[in-house]
Amino acid sequence: MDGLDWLAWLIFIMLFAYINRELEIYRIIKEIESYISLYKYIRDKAVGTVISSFKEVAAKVGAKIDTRQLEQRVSNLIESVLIFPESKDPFGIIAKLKHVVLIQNETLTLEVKRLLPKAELADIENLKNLIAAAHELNYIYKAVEHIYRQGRRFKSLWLLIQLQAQLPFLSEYVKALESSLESFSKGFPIGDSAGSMVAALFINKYSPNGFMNLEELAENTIAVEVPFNGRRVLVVKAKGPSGVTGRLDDALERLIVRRGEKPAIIVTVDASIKFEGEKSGTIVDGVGVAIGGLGIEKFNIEEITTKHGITLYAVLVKMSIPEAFSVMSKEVAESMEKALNRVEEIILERTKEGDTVILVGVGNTVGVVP
Amino acid sequence: MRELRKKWIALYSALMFAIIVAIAFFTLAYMIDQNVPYSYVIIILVPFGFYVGMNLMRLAKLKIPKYRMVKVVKCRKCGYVKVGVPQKGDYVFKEAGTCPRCKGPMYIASIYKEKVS
Repeated sequence: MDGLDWLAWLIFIMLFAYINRELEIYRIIKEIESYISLYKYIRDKAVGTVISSFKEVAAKVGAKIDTRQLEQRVSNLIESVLIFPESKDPFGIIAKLKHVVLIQNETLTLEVKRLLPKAELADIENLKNLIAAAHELNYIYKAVEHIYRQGRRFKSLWLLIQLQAQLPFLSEYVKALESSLESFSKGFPIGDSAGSMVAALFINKYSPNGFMNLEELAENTIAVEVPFNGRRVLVVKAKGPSGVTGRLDDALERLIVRRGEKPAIIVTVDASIKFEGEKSGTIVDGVGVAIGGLGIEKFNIEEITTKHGITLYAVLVKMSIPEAFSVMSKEVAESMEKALNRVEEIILERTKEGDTVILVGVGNTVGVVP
Repeated sequence: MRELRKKWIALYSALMFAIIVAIAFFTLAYMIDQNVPYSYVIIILVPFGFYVGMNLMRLAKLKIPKYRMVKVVKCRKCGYVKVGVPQKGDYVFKEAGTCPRCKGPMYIASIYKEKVS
């Protein structure tokens, strides 16, 4: 081979490497585009579900609703933003965060009531949950599209690869939010209702009349006193069947700080995300406060219990992310009895007769009373 | 998801059909006329058909599980259990009429979804 042949080969190999890279970018772009079109489809479906649910509630209460005005308001609510408190000086940030979150919740209630003044509380809460799901789906769609556009604009392969690597995990979450639309529009229990369900089962088993003796300790949060093997169990949970999570920290603050209750232990029951290899509905013990979310309630409960030296136990019901947001799966529903038995065992083994115990059913109580 | 898959399967199937027809046409034309440019068209169409076929296979293999909703209604007195389909507005511990066996009060003990395929 002479020098010209070598040069021709070199050019061919360089061209081959270049085309290979371009094809790889093209493949990644196409994959991201297919995910984006899926997210857009789910976002539009969520907005459609919110609007049709508003119309259904309007028909139920005999109210007339202007479709154009409704679409405009729903669009505004979905685009609205929660501005997190400044965290450069983190001292007291939880109180500030709680303040902002409560304002957001009240504003959303007011907005729904403005459109449907005669709507029932359960319908308002379910509509709020639907708006929250549509809001989250809209945000994910826009954020993913933003990174994709930036990656294309700056021809950044690494940005696109990072986005592509994240998409399967994001898709799990998007599909979970999509399935939550059905549960909230129909008002059926979701996987996250597991904690509330165990608390309700406890009340139903040991004090069937307890459903009548509810005490509202904080907004949308109830407590029922249940006798159990010589112990006094105070069951705290969100007030169902509307889709609320309650203010569990405020309820415990009222019981322990204001009323001076001295519980021997506090048992929190909540849904927990499982590992891929774990079975749905597996029951796991824990020590500490089992509460997800932004961490406001967890922080406040830890503050109170640390100050008063109260022992914290937890019972977790394992499930996948889609299961936590969609209508409760058979595996999770069948594990409720096991979780209840575990709670009973913990109370019997770790407290003595005459003790007071607080059982907290954590999670959204959609489709579960009391 | 199901509608989206249906739409894309229809699109890819139509494209696949068109590619197969085109390949068959150009193969026949090449065999009859022995015209070399026809073979170039076939060379371009085959990888394109392969790409469309792969996507079609991937979509066809994609399993979207089907679920059915279940409502378990229990009698408070005798424990008689009845299984049905939940209606909008149903919730756990809602009163659900009287027991056909002992006339005791019944309630919704559970609402869940069950995988059917």
